[in-house]
Amino acid sequence: MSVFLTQGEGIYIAAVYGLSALTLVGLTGLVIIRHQRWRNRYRALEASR
Amino acid sequence: MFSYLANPRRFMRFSAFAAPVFWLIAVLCIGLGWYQGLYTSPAEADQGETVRIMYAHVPAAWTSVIAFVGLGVASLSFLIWKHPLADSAARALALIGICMTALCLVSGMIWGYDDWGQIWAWDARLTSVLILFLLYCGYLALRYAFDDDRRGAKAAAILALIGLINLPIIRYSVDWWTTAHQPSVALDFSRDDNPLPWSMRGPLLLAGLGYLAFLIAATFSLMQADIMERRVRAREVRT
Repeated sequence: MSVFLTQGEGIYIAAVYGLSALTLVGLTGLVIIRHQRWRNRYRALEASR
Repeated sequence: MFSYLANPRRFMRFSAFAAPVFWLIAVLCIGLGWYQGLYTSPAEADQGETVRIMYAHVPAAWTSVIAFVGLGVASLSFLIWKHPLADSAARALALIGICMTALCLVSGMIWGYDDWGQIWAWDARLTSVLILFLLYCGYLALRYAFDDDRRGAKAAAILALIGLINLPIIRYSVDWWTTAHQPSVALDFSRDDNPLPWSMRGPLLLAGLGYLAFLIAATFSLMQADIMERRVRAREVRT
């Protein structure tokens, strides 16, 4: 690894990768929460039949 | 393939297997692509280390355009066959697409601030991507603006089809006009003298593949949730 994080431009690289990771993880979390919510309700409904 | 998967039961069976595979591909490819982009790929002569922003910015740009192509296909399918799965796919693609376009614009602004000394220029590529973002906003606003769900879906689908005109403008804006934005060379495999060497193109393509797998995996998972929601709501209405 180069020493780019000690240079001034390192802050821009860190900001872009931080934002990208946050977006990807956030979207994944949203998808998982929505999926789990409806899967649980669907399974509960199936079980009650 | 489309007609086979148009059956929700078959789609659930297929996506139960396919979605985890795409999630895995996404994690591996993005992880490896970013690792190589940050650690093993070389710095660029003009831009120096800041060129590493490319491995996060360009895949987001590709994904935002691919998501809109999918949105257009799903919208056309919905308008022709009125299939609820097509509407479901369109909504999922719009949600991921708008986030990717926002990410592309913001990461581009950060890159531009470092490279050009300003966060925005009214240049053809930047403006056409901003229009793409506004199209996604318009699609989602229209989709939920009506009390009648089907009317909202139809109006939004028409907007998505009109918005497809913007895609070739984004793709060729750097060729048609003189822009500050770099030309698209990463996917140009015909040139022997491609200015982007394989040591940089490899990680970029890997990260791009990861973002594409993420788009597919998230779309499948959101569509699964949508199908289950419809089934739950249909049964709640009956009882």
